[in-house]
Amino acid sequence: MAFVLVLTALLLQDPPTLRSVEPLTGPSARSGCWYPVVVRLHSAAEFDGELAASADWDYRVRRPLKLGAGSEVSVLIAAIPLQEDAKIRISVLRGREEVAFRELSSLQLLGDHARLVLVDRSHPRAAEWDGTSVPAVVGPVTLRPRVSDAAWWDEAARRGWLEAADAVIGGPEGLGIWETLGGSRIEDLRQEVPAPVRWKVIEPRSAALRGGGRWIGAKRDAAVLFTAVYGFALFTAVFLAWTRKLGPAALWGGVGGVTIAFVAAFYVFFPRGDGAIQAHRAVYRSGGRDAAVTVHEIRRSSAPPTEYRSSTTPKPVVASLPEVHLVRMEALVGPEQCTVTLATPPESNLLLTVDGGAWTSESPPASVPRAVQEFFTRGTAAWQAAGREASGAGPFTLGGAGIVELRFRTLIRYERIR
Amino acid sequence: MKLDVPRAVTVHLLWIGCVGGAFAAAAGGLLPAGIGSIDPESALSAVVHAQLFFVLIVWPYFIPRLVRREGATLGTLGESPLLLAQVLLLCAAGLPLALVGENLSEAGISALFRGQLMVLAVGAFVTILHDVLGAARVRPWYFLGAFAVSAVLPYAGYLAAEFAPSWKTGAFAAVSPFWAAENLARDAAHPWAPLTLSAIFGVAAVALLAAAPSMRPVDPSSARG
Repeated sequence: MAFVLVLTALLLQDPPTLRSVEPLTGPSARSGCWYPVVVRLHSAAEFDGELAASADWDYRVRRPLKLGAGSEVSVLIAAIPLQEDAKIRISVLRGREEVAFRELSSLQLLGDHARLVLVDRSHPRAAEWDGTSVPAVVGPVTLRPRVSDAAWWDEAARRGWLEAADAVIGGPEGLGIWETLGGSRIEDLRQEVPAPVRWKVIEPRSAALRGGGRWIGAKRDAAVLFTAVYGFALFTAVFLAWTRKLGPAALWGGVGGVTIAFVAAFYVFFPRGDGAIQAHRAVYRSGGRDAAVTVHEIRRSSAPPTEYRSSTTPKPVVASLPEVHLVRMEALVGPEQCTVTLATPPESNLLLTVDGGAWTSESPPASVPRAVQEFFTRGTAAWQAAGREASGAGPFTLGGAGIVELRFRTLIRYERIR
Repeated sequence: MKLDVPRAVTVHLLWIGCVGGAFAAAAGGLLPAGIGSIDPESALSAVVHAQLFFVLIVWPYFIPRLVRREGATLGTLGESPLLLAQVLLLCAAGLPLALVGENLSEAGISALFRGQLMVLAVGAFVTILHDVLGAARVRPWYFLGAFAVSAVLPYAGYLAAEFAPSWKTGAFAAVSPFWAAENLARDAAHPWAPLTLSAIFGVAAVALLAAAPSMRPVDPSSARG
């Protein structure tokens, strides 16, 4: 009996095993682009934890993982490699503890002149083309076909994880945003393959989207305006007491009254948020559909980790390699939205998302009259509904071949993000 | 004994200019070439610095000129209660700006409380010192002492730390209220500094007040500044 109990306990603690780890793009990867991997797991006992993927820098993507006893599941997850010697580490987590892992190494990073073509495994010539290098019919580029499991392409495209691929052969129709952004569907390797819109993690041009300093504009302006109005109110109270030759009680009463009024005004009117999200968004239209490339500039006034929610998995964008190593970030990819925890220094962080959302505007909280809010944040773009051209933030040419030009427009949302 | 209203008006106008103006200029980066501009996390310290500067340097000039005797006889506490009430009012008037500073720096309400307590303790000590010992008599030595405590000792400590690290002169800076105001945040290197300094100045103020009857000049009117 005891033996059975011990065995049961051991089985219950047994972590899931990683049966296979299969990249959708084979060993071919692009520096700074998502590298999607299909992980097959088996668990002898019930398991409630997470599957995580990371590469050669401090950005880990996690997905919730629930396995029944004796079950086997396949999960798509992705990491972003940066350098040639990057290892993709796939981990099974129970809480914060890593209970199983597998590492993928020997990635082949593709240059800008290589076009990655994913070939459906069921295509008759898939095995023949896999791993070859074919000169393109147009331009100084080569096509690099890789056999891939097309059943996962739709999910990968939806999550923005198919960005390393330039074209597909076979597979399901309608790969959504990826196709809108210029991903090609071809029949064979003799067709022209242009590069789609693609923004890598290290992008020197992103510096133009980054504001200087650590101040959130709305808060700074609100603070100065509040101080000026308060100073003027105090001056008025003191001046009245003097010119009307009122007594000391009136002077003190006036100063005390103004102080109490402005303490109340602070709690009612002063912007409470500790972060601002400024969205530089470029909408790309193709084939009657919209795809938005959005760079969110997240500004925080202090250093504690920030939680940020997004509909797709965001990708950090930095201007240089040394800046990458300042990034400390995790993304928990849920079924509906992705929760990002940022622990990077509080200077503005740029996160890039690609989604099919339309150009929208945010409204201020309804608790405070709009006119009052605008009075305290006048001169700033916070809460303004209309987008405006971001100074120095466009147009950008993406894709390397100069085929797409995006002009970013800016929307500032001001909110509590911690 | 009554408040001299024109002088009290002057105190308040100077307070607005000193604390409000300095904070607005620092937070807004209003001065050319970024002179005196601060990061948001220093906002609360900036407010407390401005308040400390006011109570240490500007306020002593109004003691005891702020009070009009009108022939009334002084009690054992002298003019201190009225002056302390004025200091309390000035601290209260700093509260909206301190709240803004706390919000910008996210230092927490406890940091705000510690900062204001320190301003109050330093202000009370300065007030009682001048009132009890006689403003005219004590003022030259007071400014010398304030300058030494606020600037000379921290600077000497800094120089020693740069050129003779083995001397362990870090404590030199710890006597400065301005240095303590840099340590208001939760994660500051010396979070004990503001409360410790508040306690020291507070105890010194109470001790001076208790000893006031024996220390007060024989003819207070001769010591008026």
